[in-house]
Amino acid sequence: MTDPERLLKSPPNSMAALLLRAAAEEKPSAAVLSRTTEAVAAVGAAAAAKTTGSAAAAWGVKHAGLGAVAKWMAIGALGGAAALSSVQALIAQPEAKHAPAVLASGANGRATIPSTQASAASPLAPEPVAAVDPEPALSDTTEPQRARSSEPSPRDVAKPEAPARAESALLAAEVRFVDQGRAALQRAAFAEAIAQLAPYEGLFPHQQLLTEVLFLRMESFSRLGDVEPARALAARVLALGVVGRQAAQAREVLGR
Amino acid sequence: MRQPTLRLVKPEEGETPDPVQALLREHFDGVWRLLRRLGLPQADADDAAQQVFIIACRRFESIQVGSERAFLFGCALKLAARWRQAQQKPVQPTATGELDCVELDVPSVEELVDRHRARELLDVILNSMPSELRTVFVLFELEEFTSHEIAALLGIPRGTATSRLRRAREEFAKRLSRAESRLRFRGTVA
Repeated sequence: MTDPERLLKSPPNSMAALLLRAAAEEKPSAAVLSRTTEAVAAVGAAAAAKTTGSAAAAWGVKHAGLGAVAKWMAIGALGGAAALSSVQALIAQPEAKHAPAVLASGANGRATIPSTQASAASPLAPEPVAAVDPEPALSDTTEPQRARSSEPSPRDVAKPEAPARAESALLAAEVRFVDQGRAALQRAAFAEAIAQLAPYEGLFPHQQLLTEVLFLRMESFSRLGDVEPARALAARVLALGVVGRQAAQAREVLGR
Repeated sequence: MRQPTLRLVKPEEGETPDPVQALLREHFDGVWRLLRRLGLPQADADDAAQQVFIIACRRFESIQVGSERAFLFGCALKLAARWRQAQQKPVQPTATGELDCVELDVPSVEELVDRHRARELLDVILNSMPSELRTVFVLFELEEFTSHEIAALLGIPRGTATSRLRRAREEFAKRLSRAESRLRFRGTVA
């Protein structure tokens, strides 16, 4: 069974060829490609750091070209005891109200934005990404994708026994920390929100709410009328691959 | 037998073998074009294309060697389908196969030289087609998938893919013919 000849290859003066050629020649802007390249590099760097430690992190940083990611990589890969102890101090506080929302975040470990903004996001917002089956009818294995995703990789197995309790505590602490910043923002205490959220990247090794924090900081600076830091944070938000309403707001801040 | 899967490999100094970046360079345009031709406005196509590659990056180890393109386009199709579902007023294909219900500001032949207008007309025609035919048509005619690849991508038998492609081409020809006749009429009047 052979396929018919493509209309695109029909005589160039035919209307069908004209239309299809025009479509085939359409390309995304260089800015979109550049932004995606940065975002993919950042995500790749995060994945590499998660599995291979600081050496891979340095590679990711090189490709991402993001100073902030560098900081995260260095901290995230090593996961020092100092950070853990500071977090344990934080988790001594009462349980966070929003923990379930965050725990429902993406399977990749990077939390999506759990605030009410996320629910109003566009259909292309980050949260549903994890629900996308990336191999529709392509895999010739009977093993479901979701199940495979939950399997530990060989590197995960090789890692020292995962301190699951500590990780959970870290996440809870992050949630509480971010909630305090969000609460300040919600009551229009922008400077307080900025001050509250500023030490986040130094405090938390895994930074599962990094996107949320960057977004809240961007919003706070923006509301304060402090344009330059807001723009810098907007660029970081976009570089992390945020899409939908958050991306639109970040682009708005950047004036794109 | 399970196929080999891709691995993120730490590159040596001076090398750039990052395979996701390679996929990005090779397929970003195609993924973005597919999203555009499936009806996403430019800004949404930008976001969705980025999302496709982020998914690819995150799920990299589950992508089988040789099926990278199918993986990426499969993601794009799913995102496009989700986008369509989320639209309050999805574009309905015309029951008669005509363009009657479409507000078509038909350009003159000269204007069609302008590729932007050509794409606009193409999108109007594609918008009026049933989505399953449109998808097959775009994959085959624009992204040069074979019917075999389309069948695998959509999870349908090859005969179904071939049949859809035939119907899609018929529908496209019918709509295009209608648009051309309008063009000629408009050219005569002008």
